[in-house]
Amino acid sequence: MTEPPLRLLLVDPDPASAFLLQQALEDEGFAVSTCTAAEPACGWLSQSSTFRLLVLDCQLPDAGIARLIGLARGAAHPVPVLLLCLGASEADRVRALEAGADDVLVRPFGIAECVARCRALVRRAQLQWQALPVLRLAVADCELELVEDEHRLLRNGEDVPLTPREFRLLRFLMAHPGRPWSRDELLRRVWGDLESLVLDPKTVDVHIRWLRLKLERDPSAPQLITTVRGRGYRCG
Amino acid sequence: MADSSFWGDSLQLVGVDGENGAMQPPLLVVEDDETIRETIRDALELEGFAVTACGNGRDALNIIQRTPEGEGFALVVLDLMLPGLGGLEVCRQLRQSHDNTPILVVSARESETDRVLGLEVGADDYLVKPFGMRELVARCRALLRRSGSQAVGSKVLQHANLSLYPEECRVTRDGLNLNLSPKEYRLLELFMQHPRRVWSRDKLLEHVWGHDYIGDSKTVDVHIRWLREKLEDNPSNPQHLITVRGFGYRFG
Repeated sequence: MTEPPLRLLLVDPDPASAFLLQQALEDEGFAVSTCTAAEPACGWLSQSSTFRLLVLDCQLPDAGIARLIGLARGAAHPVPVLLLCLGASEADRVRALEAGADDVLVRPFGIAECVARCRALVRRAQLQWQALPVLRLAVADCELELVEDEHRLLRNGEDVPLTPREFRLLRFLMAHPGRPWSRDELLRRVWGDLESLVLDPKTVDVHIRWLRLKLERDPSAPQLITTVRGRGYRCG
Repeated sequence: MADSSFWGDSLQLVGVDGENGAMQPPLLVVEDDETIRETIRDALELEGFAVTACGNGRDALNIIQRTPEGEGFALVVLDLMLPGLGGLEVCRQLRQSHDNTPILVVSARESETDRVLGLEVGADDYLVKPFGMRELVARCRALLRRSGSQAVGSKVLQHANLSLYPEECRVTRDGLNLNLSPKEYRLLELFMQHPRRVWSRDKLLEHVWGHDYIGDSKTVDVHIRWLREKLEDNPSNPQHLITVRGFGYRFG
């Protein structure tokens, strides 16, 4: 199985140097999106959570750099930042690191070092992400990641807003992959805190339908949460 | 057990607890040149890190492997040209045994090939000698930050236009000081130390007000509202302190 190329966002106000670097990084197997200003880059970064690395050139305005670093670090998967500086002194490099850059590379640099630093940053970021208490489920072309501590669900890296009950239901199903659960069992395990209420087992069906509408590519032919006839529902 | 003979002369252990007893991330410095080793140690200790130092690769591996699980080093500063077992080999062996301790290589080998090799063998960063101690410290901090170590010694917690200075109990928004009550400050500090983490009202009460506080979890909501009025551009549409319906609050 070949790994999909790592997506990288390159922001460099000088189109010529951006072009050269993009070519070189693409030759090394990265998928590079290039931007020459901070504003559109902010838009891309906040809309898509599939970038794995942000490479910035120091000639961008300071406010733009600060904003991009803030977005990258607050992203669903925090995105590491490599800052490229022309002839930076030690003080400049220290300032950049303290401002939130993860690595600083001084121009002119060799492309091999740039690539090696990019890879090292991505490697560390992925280790961090894997260390989180995350439930994962991959079916066909869809990957779900449920982050317990943060009460978040990512579908192929994109945030999917869930209601509290949908979240609990999905967490329960994902914690027991492959095992089917009847409606009554699910009512007891997921709606147990509402024991004073008499709930209709149809409640489960309704929540499953809502989850499918949010998660499945084709909700009428579900792949992630399947119906096991005569038994109930199962995930994976 | 005769530790001193086992480790050899080059090993010097320094107390893990600083004078203030605060928990600081423990770092390991592996460097055979005593002058450089002590300079690095001084610089890092000055920043509040607990530093262990040794002078060769074999000792380094022994120390790391003998450290109990969960109390491992937050970072290793590793020289490459060591007597006996070289730094690259140390790095390779650690990664092969699935030890992912962050590694910052410091080396006089300055060619691009060497730098690439170091990073590919599993180092996280590569700093060429001679280097300034300020850059070394800044790179250590950056590496600790991205490897998830809450460096207590770190000076500032930043998020968007907010900065929190733990040592000064001060918070600024767009560079201007905010006037926070002690409870508001502690709430915000907790949130900023764990960005994106969702906190239930009960957990917040426990962490900020303490176990013995007798009160209503509505207290939390009230303080959150006050905080929002001070932090948010539009308190009714908060961007920092977000309500997570059914669970509690999160920051960022």
